[in-house]
Amino acid sequence: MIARQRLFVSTLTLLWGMTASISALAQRAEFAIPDPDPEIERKSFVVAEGFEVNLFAADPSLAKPIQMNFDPQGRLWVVSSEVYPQIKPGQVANDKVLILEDRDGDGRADRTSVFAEGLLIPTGVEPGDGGAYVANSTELLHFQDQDGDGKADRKRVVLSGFGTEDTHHILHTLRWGPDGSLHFNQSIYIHSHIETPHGVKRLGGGGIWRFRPRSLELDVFIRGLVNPWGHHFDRWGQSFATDGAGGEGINYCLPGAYYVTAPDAVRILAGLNPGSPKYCGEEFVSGAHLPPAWSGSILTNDFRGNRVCRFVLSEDGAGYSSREQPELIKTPHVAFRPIDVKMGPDGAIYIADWYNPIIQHGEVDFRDPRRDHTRGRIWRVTAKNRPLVPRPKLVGASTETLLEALKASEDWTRHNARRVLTERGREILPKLKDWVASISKEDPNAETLKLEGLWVYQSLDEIEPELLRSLLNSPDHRVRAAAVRTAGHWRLHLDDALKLIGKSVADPHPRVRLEAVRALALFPSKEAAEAAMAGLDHPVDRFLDYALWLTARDLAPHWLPEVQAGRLDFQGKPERLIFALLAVDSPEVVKPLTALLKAGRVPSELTSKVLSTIAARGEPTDLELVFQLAIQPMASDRVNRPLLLDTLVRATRERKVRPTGDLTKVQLLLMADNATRAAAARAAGAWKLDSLRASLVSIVSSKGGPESVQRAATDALAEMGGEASRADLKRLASPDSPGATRRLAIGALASVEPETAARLAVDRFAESSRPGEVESLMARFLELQNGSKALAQALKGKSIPADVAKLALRRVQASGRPEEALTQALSASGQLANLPKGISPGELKQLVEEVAKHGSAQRGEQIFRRKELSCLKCHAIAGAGGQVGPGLESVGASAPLDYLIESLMNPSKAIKENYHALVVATEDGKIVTGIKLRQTESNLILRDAEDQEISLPLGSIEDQKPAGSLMPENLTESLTRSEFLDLVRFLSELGKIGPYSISKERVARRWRVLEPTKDEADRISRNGLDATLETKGLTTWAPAYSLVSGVLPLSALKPTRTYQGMIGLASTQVDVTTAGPVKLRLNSIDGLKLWVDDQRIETQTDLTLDLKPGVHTLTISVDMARRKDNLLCTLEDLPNSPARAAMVVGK
Amino acid sequence: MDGVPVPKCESEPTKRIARTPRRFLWRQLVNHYALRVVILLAGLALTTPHLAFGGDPFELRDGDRIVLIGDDLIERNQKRGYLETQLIIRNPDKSLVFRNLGWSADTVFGDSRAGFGTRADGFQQLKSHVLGLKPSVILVGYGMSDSFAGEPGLLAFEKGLGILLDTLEESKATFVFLGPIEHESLGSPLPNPRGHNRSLELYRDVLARAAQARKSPFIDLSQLAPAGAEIALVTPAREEAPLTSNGIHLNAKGYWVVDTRIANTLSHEDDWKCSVRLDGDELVASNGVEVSGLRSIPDGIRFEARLRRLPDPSAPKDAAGEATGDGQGIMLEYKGLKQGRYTLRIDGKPVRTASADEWGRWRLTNGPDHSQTEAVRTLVNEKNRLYFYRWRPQNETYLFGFRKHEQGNNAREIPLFDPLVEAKEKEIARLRVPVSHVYELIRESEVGQ
Repeated sequence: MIARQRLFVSTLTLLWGMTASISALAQRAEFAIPDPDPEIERKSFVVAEGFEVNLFAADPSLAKPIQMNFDPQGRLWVVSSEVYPQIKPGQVANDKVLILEDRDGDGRADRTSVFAEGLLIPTGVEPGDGGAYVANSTELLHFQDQDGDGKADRKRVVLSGFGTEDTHHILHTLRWGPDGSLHFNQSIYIHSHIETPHGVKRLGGGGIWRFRPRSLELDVFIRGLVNPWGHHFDRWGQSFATDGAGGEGINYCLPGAYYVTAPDAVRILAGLNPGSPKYCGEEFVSGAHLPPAWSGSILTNDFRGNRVCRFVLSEDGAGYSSREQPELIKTPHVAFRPIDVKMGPDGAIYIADWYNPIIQHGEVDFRDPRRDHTRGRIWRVTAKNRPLVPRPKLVGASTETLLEALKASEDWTRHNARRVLTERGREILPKLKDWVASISKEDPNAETLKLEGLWVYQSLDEIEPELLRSLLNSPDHRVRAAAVRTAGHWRLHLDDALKLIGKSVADPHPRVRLEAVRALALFPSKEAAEAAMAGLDHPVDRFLDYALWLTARDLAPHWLPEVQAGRLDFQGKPERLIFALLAVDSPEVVKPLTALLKAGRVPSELTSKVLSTIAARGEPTDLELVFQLAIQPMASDRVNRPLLLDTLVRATRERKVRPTGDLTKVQLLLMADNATRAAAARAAGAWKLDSLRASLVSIVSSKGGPESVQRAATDALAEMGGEASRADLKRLASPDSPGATRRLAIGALASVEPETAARLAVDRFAESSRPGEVESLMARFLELQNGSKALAQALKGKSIPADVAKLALRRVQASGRPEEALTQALSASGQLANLPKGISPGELKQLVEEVAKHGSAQRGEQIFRRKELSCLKCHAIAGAGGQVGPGLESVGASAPLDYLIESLMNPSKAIKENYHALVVATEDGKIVTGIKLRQTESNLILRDAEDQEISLPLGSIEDQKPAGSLMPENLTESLTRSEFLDLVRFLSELGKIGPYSISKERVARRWRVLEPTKDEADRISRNGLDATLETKGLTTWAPAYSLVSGVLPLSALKPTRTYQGMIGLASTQVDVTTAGPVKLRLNSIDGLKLWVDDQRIETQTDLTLDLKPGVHTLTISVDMARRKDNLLCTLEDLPNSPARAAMVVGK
Repeated sequence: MDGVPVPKCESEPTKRIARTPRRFLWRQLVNHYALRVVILLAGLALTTPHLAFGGDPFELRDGDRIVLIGDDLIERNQKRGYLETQLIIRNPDKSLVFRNLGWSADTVFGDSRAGFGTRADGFQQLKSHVLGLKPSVILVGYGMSDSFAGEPGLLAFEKGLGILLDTLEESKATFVFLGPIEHESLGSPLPNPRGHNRSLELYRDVLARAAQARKSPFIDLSQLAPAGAEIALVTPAREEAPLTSNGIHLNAKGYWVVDTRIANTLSHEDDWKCSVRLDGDELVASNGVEVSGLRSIPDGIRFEARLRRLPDPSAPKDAAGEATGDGQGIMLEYKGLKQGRYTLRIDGKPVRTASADEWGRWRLTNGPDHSQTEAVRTLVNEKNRLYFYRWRPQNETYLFGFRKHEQGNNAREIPLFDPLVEAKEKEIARLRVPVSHVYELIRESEVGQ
């Protein structure tokens, strides 16, 4: 439960109905604002073994640092904003770019100077090109100091037109790439419209831009991510990003890919650590000062949880896997807000601490007096007893020295040497050539060094084909991958770019193939598409599959017309052509697909996909082809009948096309398996097959039929329409029918005769208070545009039980819409007292005190897990749980207690970005409420309160408007005061140091427990577990989740009696991305038996599993009589194993 | 003149009718493609564009509300302030309100204003912003962003422009059209602008035709680099210096040049002629200056001078700190001085010391009136910044958008920028009027100490 969507509550609530002033807000500060003494903060740090922290710089010389970057002289440039989050009328925007210098090398800044001022919320700074680039709200500026007095005296607008719809999303995270491109990011709410001499570039939403400062070419590198405030490159130029509002940890940036929230995304790439808290800033660490094991790992900041975190990446096929390590720093100090992290010239780690008890501004009032506007710290972390790196002297050094610096093990040194070389310009070219030639073959780093050379050429826009060619053939696949990317950028200057890159599509390493496939997307030709699809001849993992799919789509304008004209068939390889056609998934691909199908060239494993694409996009005659195949008697072996039928039905509903030919043959399928029967019933309704009416009525009337089929049949009657159908439905809805039938019939009738249905529903409410029944009926009315009005009307003067009214109201609130008339009618009919909304400041203050004094997090966790509160239905902790609302793993560390309380009581007052509900009215009279997941060119995809994805064709949408939270308001009303205190206490502990922070172990958190039906219980009892599992006879699994600590309590199991005693069953899943042995550790094996993918394996505490890539199910039976311990199941690496595996999270 | 076309809104307030003759001339002259040739040829021979058209030029009126719409050409103008300043000081007796609604990369469809919505939403935003300001003059500065759609986008542009203008007709404002500037060639690695300039030409023609059809002024901003006649008037200091920072966006100098061209068209203003000729303590002639209180003082003369209007803003300085063009100077001619060195003091502040001969004829280019112009320009820029906070506030999502239920309470702050904008405008109104300054020319021996 809880803040299904927002984490904090704005102070609006407080101001409600009273004339509270800002000073009133100040009085309610629930936590003591910490003592701002930096030493007190420093002492609170729990630092990783072997490291220590010192203060590099602090207020008053430094206020609110946002981004920092070192220049080649070793000076630290920082942008700082006191204006954030919003300029006040009359306030002068005077934010600054500061330069911090540690001249004597003692690890403390001894000079802070203002380089530029008069800025408005500058959110990024990157020194370079004789000055510094600065992100200043709508503009990317370049400042220069021409007279050498240390202050900027020249300002140039480099780009303008960046959006400012949210000041913590504006242009940020400036970063030089190794190839001399300047990268910068923007976040979800930002819409940028930028004029460049190469054309207008637009990006509405999050993403990373790539910019060439000399030629002013600007492109979108990746799209999406919610608030990506971290981006860095590994030693081979691969990009990784972190997300300050996403929950997937480190994101591998596949060029051109779409990530969560990307506008127009049809398919998105997920991050590498699903279920993570949010991270800000990112730096690959390296160099001699740090322990060798740290080199190449990533540091980033859990700014909400007051932690500096470390991740280790490893190669995983074409992509990577990422594993969290113990923190570098953690602290209970609530104002420690690490938001940027950089390596310094001395090999130490520097951390920008925004220092604020209040973070964010979307959910916390702009003018909350607890916001800090003046403080800020830079911390420096060093490894104890390890020598620092001598600060390299790069500025003014000879070109030879700079080239030698490219051999350094410190990324800092190489990066800055590259920058100095680049700024020297073409004069360095002869020496660069000599240097590259002088690299010894014996040097173990020879290939990586040559890559450094290639990047210097690229930074200078100097094409060097020979070096490129040699690196394309490097023995090191990481170098080859980087060279392929460079070849793509140089394509217009190379004679044979297409051929060169095409060759890499057949590279032995999947990442080189991936880079080649993506580089080919830059060539506007069918030849490039042909070359890219050849990648399908090699093993394809999820990253490569995405790359192929993206390239097929990017290049569609160049190859699809050729296919349509019959001039291109991808070298006669149908699987390549089919892949490309399915990727494009547009009406144009239907004819080529049907041609392949008719020619018998569609491999059987692709048949269902091909057919459903034809059904989704085709014309009536194409649909007939699908229909005929679906009703063939033997079809069920080859195709997914329900999928095909439902796709045809959708085509009829959304595109108003139906298969030609005799559709009544669908009757044959009304006797097939349940899923097919339900789909066939839906088809009968959508196609208005009057002759099937009797069959449908008999399905509805038959006793004990599965509800899914009965509901489909009832709805089909309604969709068929006409007097006869109405009569049938009214008869089925009459009190003579069984309760379930009545409910289904009333629900169906609502769509054709809402007033009648509403009267019948109210009658039903008066006599039944089964929660499922009330909720399901309410849902049917609420999904109709005129449903709630009809219901409110029917309730007039009627009386219903108070409990029914409460259940109904809960459902209304979950719609995210106000529905005032219906709310009043329900309250009146149920004789509910009007509950006072809001809470007075005094009450809030008292609650806050009581939570701290009496609340128990341990009891609170049990309350959180109660089924009737359904918290986990919508919220995940560490990825395990529902996905409707934000993950809660760090909510306690980021949200003050008062916000938590208000969020529980009034969910819509403050909502986390990306969790706002959207109310959509469709042309067929329906109304759908859900969280917008993405919008493609043709469809809007929502996630509804039931965690289902709903895809709405844009053409069918009549209106849409934002709504509040999907979280019902009165969820906590059933709790006693002390239970409420416990629940708040539990939430407030999440993410704080202690038992409620998420461990970094790969613990199974998402489970399925068997809740056997009578039939299943009988079978287990008769046949035993092994036989039942092996025949895959168990289907009624219910979600269950581990405690925050990682253990699954035995109480979560639903044991059933077997001849072997009382047995509970739980299963969890492992996603293997690279095959190899992994260790599975159980806390104990008492009373346990194990199956992997329904195959029994020997039970040991440390199991070695050697699994193929893919998702594997681990099933555990628990002998309740013998087992005392809860279940704890952890995945661990085995030394030298190539395996990459993770526990599956999610709902 | 016969056949004066009747504007659509003839029954509407007199302002528009009063402007009719000017429009008619524009219609005559802004006569499709030939027009630009005419302007160019005329420009070579004559000094200011409006003279090329003869008769009454467009004239701003007291109380005019001038709304500027368009892409970056307009948006970036608000930080330069040359155009507004020029128009304000050239009309010291008129109260003019300027509202810059330019938006980078915007098109006639309102693409940049769409926010979270569609192009149609962007257009609605454009419409409601413009109409909400009740403009009497709308300066239309579209074309650069649109032109990247090239020839295939031309028809849509023409149609979109038509719809935009039809929609904004509701305001009954007079339109003034700017043509997009040329894409300046700055050499590799920036792109070769040849192809794009062909597109720009096409889009410029569409705008010129729209202006003609609506009997409105069209101001051609192409041909900036080879200085046209009106640019020659202000003599670029370095003809080589580019006028753009990247080929498509004007730099400071570029705005100074372009804004002067626009101001020359929109403000009925002869050549800057501002001079005082004295012979001893006799006023021989003055032009554009009201001279009073002229009298001899020991070893010198004294008078009070009040300009008819302030000089235009001076040309911006280049990286080396040198002016990139000549400003408007006040010609001072002193005859009949005894030999010796004289110091000119204005309001008691020494300005220049020179010999009697050198004082025979000298241009004052940085006197207090110039400073006053610069003060106006500073205020204009400050006003525009405050207005930007007002109409395009940051955090719009929370203040007015779909998260206003969270921070909408803070939206109350946004109208508080209005009085701040008005305060700047009051200050501008005060400063746009020239004041009298005391000029004293005194022999050196008297002022040496």
